Amino acid sequence: MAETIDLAALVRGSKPQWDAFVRRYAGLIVSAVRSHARETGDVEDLVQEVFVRLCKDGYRLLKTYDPARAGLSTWLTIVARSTARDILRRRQPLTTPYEAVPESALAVTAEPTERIKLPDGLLSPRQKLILTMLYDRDMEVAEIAAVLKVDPQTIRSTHHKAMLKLREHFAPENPAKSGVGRG
Amino acid sequence: MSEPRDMESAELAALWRRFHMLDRAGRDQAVDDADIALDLAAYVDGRLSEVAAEPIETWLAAHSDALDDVIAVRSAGDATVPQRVIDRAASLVVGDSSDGRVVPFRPSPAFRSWRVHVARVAVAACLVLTGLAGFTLGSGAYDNLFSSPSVSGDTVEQPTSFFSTEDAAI
Repeated sequence: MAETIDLAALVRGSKPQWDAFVRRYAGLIVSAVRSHARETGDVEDLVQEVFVRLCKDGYRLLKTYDPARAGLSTWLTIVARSTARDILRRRQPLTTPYEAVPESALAVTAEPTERIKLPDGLLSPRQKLILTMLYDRDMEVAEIAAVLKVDPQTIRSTHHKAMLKLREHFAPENPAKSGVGRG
Repeated sequence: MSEPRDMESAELAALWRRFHMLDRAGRDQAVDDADIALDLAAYVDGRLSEVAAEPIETWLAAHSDALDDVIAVRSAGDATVPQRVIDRAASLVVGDSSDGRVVPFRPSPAFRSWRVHVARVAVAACLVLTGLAGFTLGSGAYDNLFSSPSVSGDTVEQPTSFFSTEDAAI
C-alpha cells in the first residue's frame, strides 16, 4: 500500500514525512529527469537538485502546491523537468566550439527558409496544438488523445476541421490570403 | 477523468495574464514560476475548462519544452532508485526520525551569552590572581632581603623619602 504523505506536516518541518515523501516520489522524479541527463551521475545530481528546490526556503515551492488544482504526481513531474532544464542550461558553456558548429550553419549562401504566417484566430488554440503534435512531433492520434485526455475521434475531428480552415484560407480564390505575408 | 472545475472569473483572468505575459516575453524555457507549473499540471490532469485551457494550448503549441513536459507526464513512471539517492535526498532535512520536528543545530542566544560571561569572568579572575601572586612574591622577597643580617646598609641603598634632610642640604 502506498504511503500516505501528510504534506501539511511535511512543510511544518516533519522529518518522518519528508523521508516518506522522498521514498514515495524519488522514482517519479528519476523518471522525469532521466531524459535530460547525459550520464547516470547527472541523473542523481538532478534528482538531488529537485529535492533541494522543493525543500529550500522553508519548503517555499512545495507550499505552492494546491491539491484542488492538480495531482501531486503531475505537478512534481513538471517541476522536476523544469528544474532539470534550468540546471543543465546553466551548466552549458556560453560559447560553442567552432568544431561543434555544423557546416550548414556556416554556409554563406544558405537557402532562406520560407515560413508561412497564419493570421491570428484562423485556428483555435486546440487546433494549433493538435497540428503541432501531429506534424512537428510526429505523434500518433492515440498518443495525442492520451496526452490531451480526449477521445481519439475528437483528435481526428479537430484535425479535419483545422485542415478545412487552412485549405479555405490558402485557396487561390481567397481574397483574404493576399493580406498574409510570407517570410 | 475528473470534470473540469469551473474557474472564478478572477482566477481565469489571472491564468490568461500569466500565459499571455509568458508569450510576450518569448519564454521558450523551463517553467520556474510556481503558478505556471500548477496551471500546466491542472491542464494535464484535465481539470481546466475549454476556455481556461485555451491560453495554455496556445502557449504549448509555440513552446516545445513545455509541450515536452506535458507529453512526459503521460509516460512518467516509477523508476528504480538506488538507496544512496534516497539517503542523500532525505539528509536535506535534519531531525530525529522518531519525532516530527526539525531541530536546527544552532545554540540559542541566551546560551551563547552565558558562555561569554563565564569566559570573561574567568579571564578577569586569572588576571587578578596573577597580579596578587606577583605582588605577594615580590613583597616577600623584598622583606626577606632586608631582614637578613648579611645584608649591610652599604650594599643596598635605603629608600629615602622625597623630603630627606640630607638631600635638602644640596
